[in-house]
Amino acid sequence: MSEDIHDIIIIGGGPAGLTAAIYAARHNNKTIVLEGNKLGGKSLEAHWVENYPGFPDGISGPDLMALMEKQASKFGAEFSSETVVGIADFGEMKMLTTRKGIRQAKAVIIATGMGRKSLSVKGEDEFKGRGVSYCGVCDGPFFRDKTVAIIGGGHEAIHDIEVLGESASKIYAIPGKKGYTEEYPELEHIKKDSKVEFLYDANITEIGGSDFVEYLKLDNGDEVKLDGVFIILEHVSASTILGEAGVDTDAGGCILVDKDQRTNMDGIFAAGDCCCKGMQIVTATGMGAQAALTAMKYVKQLGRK
Amino acid sequence: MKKIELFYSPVCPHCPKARELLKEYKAATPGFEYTEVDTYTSEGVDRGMSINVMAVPSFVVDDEIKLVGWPFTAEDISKAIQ
Repeated sequence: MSEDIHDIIIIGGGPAGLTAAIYAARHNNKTIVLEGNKLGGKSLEAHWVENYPGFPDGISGPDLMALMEKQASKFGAEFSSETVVGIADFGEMKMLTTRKGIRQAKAVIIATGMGRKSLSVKGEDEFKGRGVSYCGVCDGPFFRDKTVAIIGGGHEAIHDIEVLGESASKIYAIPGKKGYTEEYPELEHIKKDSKVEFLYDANITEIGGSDFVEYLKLDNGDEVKLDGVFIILEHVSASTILGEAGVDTDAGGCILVDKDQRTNMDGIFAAGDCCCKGMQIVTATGMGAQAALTAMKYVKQLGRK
Repeated sequence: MKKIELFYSPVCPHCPKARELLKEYKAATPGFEYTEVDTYTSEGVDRGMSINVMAVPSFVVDDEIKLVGWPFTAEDISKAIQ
């Protein structure tokens, strides 16, 4: 595997990574996408995408991702189910350590997206799958006519309030003491929904119950009776290996890039949700395309040296 | 004969791996009745809620939830069936 040098390695197979693969492979760059999970990323959780251009009737997230994969494959992009655990910069060559071995490339595009993280409170592990969930669109239907809480202040948490609104009878929206990270436009609509109650200025201290979740406790002393707790806290995937590699991020772990998707390291680019911009499929694909264009230019310049 | 059910959702990112593992396990280990339950249908949700399934993937043996979430292994499945 180590002798197989790629022009461009793309870490992450969501919309940004797959779009970068389409652009890079179409221009005859030897391109591979490394994805430790299923190709498609978080877009796989999108039941119906109604705002992606070109699909006036909408399309499911999994179908859209399958089309992107097909398009990248058509141009010769390779795919491998591999988790990257380290990135080393040797100037004109980048070396990636994966759980399967070593890979080398002239340029790397990081498109690892956003992952989920735990709340780390008492009762969370004990009630996983028994009322504690990390995916509203996956597990929400089981909470039909029940009371739930959505924990988190990011866009995914907002989305899951809307998703659970279709099944749950009562929703507590708990963004945490920092509140929502942005004034999301969806909030205006959600605030008018009588079944949604916002609990601000409080953090969770405990999730409890007997066989299943029955309550959660807040650090203001309140106890909330409910049936389900959806923990929707986001963080940049692979942020640890990025830090070790020397890729600059902000305090929240978001990768810092310039307008052409360059990171602070020559030959390493980033695109998509891991840059914490847009958080939409269409913005991720735009960043993926730009990252590929810049990476291709970089690889071409290396060849001229 | 034991009745095995795998509850999955088409929008769950981990479910394809669980389904693939169960398919392989079933091929190598005959002798039980296996059903996949799609929880993106109202019938699937009703079935899940009737036995307190609250997450996908969930692996159920004779109406008893044995494994919830991903990952689990063939060894976990064998233990759960016994």
